[in-house]
Amino acid sequence: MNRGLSTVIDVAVCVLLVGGAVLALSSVVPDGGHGTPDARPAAAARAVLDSTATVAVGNETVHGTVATLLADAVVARGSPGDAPGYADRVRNATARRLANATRRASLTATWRPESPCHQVALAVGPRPPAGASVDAVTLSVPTANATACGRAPVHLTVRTWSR
Amino acid sequence: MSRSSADGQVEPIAALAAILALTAAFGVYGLVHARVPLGGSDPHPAATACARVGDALDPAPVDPHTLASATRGVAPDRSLNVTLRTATGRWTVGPPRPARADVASRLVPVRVGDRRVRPGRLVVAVWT
Repeated sequence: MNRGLSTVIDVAVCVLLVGGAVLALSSVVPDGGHGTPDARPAAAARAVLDSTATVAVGNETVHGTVATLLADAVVARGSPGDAPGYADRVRNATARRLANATRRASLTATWRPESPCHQVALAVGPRPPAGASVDAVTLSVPTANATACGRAPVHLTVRTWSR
Repeated sequence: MSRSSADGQVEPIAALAAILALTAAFGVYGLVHARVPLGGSDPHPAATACARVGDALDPAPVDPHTLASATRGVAPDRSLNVTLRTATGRWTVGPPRPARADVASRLVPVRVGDRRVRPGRLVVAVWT
């Protein structure tokens, strides 16, 4: 092959490779702290659901994490023979923990069992303002041994927003 | 410069063009390289430090007494203030933070007593 032509091809290949390197380099995006920290639902969910509370049931008290209390309360409310007021007290305790963590989050506990139990949804916390960008995370709490109404888990959903 | 043998010389114009093209290519590469923050210049040092302290404090819930050990070595070349707040308590490690400090925070569950856990906020301030 002609030496001059070979040089042109070599240089062209080299420039192509350097161009590729430039593209690769400019696609490096530093991992910035995008969004405000409270807008990360996983951290808010851990802070609230891992917190503990003590709730009265009749003459006794129940102590547990907010996650287990909520799951318990939702199953109790959806089952026949619900202890009066228990779910409301759990909801109030949850609302206090949630308010202590952040004002920009809400929590929903839902259960969709088979009959004879009935569907339950408990909502805690404020509603996100219109137009806010909302993130959410959902945790499942299994209830297989706690109920005679199928194996439907309780879903705990935490929503967070930045404004 | 003329071709005098079978294995001849590269045309001077082609050689000059090749050198110019390579110089331009490496120049562009250098400019792009200088503009990309690769380590060294972390744009959010507090967020990085907050993530490191949070990882060191795992597994949750956070025990406030482990705050000092979790903070060690997180930002060796900078000043650091780490504060853990709940509705009723406050634990802090490091000197008071100046107004210019870069600040980041995250929500964490905090163990405030035997079998008692409350939501809290981990606030990390970094400055030089």
